[in-house]
Amino acid sequence: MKCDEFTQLFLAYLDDELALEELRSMELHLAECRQCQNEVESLRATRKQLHQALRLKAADIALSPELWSKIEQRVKGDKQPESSRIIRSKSKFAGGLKMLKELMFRQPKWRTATVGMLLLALIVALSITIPLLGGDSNIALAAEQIARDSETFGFVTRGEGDLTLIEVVEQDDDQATVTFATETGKHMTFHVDLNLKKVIEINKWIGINDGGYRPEDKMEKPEAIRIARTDPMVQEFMAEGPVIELAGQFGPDHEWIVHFFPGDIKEQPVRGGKYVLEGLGVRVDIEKQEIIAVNKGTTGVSIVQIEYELAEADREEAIDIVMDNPTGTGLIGQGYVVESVKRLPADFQRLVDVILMLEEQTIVQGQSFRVDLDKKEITDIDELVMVEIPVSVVQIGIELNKIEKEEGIQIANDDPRVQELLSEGFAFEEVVHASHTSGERSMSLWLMPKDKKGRSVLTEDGLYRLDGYCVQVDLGEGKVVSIGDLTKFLSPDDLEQE
Amino acid sequence: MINSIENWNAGNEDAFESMFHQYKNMVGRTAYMICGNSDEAEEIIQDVFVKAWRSRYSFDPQKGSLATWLYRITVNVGISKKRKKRVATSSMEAMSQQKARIENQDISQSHETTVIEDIEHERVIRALNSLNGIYRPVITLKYLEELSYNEISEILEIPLGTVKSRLNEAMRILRRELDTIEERQ
Repeated sequence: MKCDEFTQLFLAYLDDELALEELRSMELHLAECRQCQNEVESLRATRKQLHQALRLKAADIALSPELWSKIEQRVKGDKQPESSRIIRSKSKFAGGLKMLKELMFRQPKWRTATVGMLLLALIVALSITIPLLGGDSNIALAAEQIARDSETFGFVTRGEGDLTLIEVVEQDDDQATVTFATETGKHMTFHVDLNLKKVIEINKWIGINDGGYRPEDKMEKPEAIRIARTDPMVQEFMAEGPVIELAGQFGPDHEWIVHFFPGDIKEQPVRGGKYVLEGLGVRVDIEKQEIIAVNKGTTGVSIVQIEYELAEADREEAIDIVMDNPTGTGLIGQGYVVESVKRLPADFQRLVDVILMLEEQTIVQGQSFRVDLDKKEITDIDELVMVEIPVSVVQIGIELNKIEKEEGIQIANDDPRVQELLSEGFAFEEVVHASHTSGERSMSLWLMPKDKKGRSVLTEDGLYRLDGYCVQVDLGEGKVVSIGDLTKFLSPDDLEQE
Repeated sequence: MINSIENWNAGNEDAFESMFHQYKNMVGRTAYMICGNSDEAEEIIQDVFVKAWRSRYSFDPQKGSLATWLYRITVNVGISKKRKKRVATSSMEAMSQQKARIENQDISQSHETTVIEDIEHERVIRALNSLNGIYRPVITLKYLEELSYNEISEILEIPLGTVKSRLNEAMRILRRELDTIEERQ
């Protein structure tokens, strides 16, 4: 080992944290290297100073004698566990999760946006299809507590006012989803692992219908879906395999439309920036409890749009509207940049979120502008906390720092398959998606051709298709788990920039 | 008389009170180091024990010690509270300034050695202020609570390698800051 390799171990050496083998080579090295000896001594002195200063500072704290009585008071005011609600999952949701997992493995390009969106759709579908049942209230409380205790909780709920617990849904594999409603009419779902006592994923969204939240939606949606499901055509459609259900209030207050789409939408064609889905649209009258019409047809659904496929015109139009807004202009002046532009899962409107972020922040904060392209106006400006993944899936652990990213690249570099790809003209992209899915620390590294222009293909949509690979690294295990195909679609401008 | 804390997580309130008295200082020190302010530290202590009580059924002694579990809650509550506070001057800095004032008043009466030591400590505390939120818990758990890397990894739920790299990075930042402060002086 060279001096700079030993340098990394000096602190562990002083902390008595070196393995025997490392300790031996460290001592041998120190015996003959004066420079490293000096460095260790200097570090030892700082460490000692730090230790003393911390102890001195900690001694400053004097706890007030009333502390216990304050705690006792708060604890006594607690609600009883019986007041929590829990509903149990059914096999349909398990099927949906399986589908999501398959998607994550088969189609890496879907991972970032679509999985979050699909999960959202599935959670919505689940929460509106299964009635509340009395259940294990302890699990409900534990799940709620895990969500509230998580590092990200305070962060993602900041500025949302008081949260109301809507429901806790226990799922297979000792997991649960905890959904809160915010004062601002949003819903936040924390997907928690009860064994690991960790939040795995967080979804934050505004009512799926027209962007405005009506408290009665919560009640009416399940009803609308229940009525729609009584139709024989719907039943036949559902018998064919997993479906995605989207329900929105439409027309007069008591009228709803429920869409049923095939669950395997990844197979469906893309046109004009939308996935073209063949499915059923069922119009339902909640008041009369009857079906008004059932239409079989093709619908362009923006829910599955990912950033790269958003039509160029929509993107520019949305950014222009944000730039005309005083808050938007102000933020740009302060060094904010357009981080992403993405279409919302709103069925009947061209709603786009333009996200402005401050560059180079480890914990990314910014502002999200919701733009209604039809009305050409900004309907909402929201503070945003997001980490790398450009959808409302907030990674757990807040961020993997640079060191961990390097760790991922290092692990990948040791894999012979990756080495082969690197020798074939592929290179790691700057985009490194790190996530803590299923309670594990994993990372997706994108390997794309260095010669992007030479190796891209122009598609009918006017976008350039670029094929590469997605390398999934398990940081805990220190190995490459899988290497999957990855396809990126770039606009001509994007290609030029890259 | 202090009761046994054995049944605290079965809902025994007396045992919970004993548990509080046994761990309040440990929680308090950690909270104080993360937020740097006594009042806030007390709020954190309250939140930690209230959370501990509310999630007592999720505590499993087979999976880790009570101290580890309480440290974890403290760090989480502390960090989350810190994020909520959006003040222009960090509280650590305010505390450090306040402490400097107190020390300045005392200097005339202090023994020379103590003065030098205090100035040294003051420099370190000022350097600590420059540490980003992710480094404070590792530094506190290691150099105040004197826990092992393994224990820190368990509490913060990060890999051992990350504990090492964060400590190295924190120390690098601290030394750089100490040099800067020295140059200014």
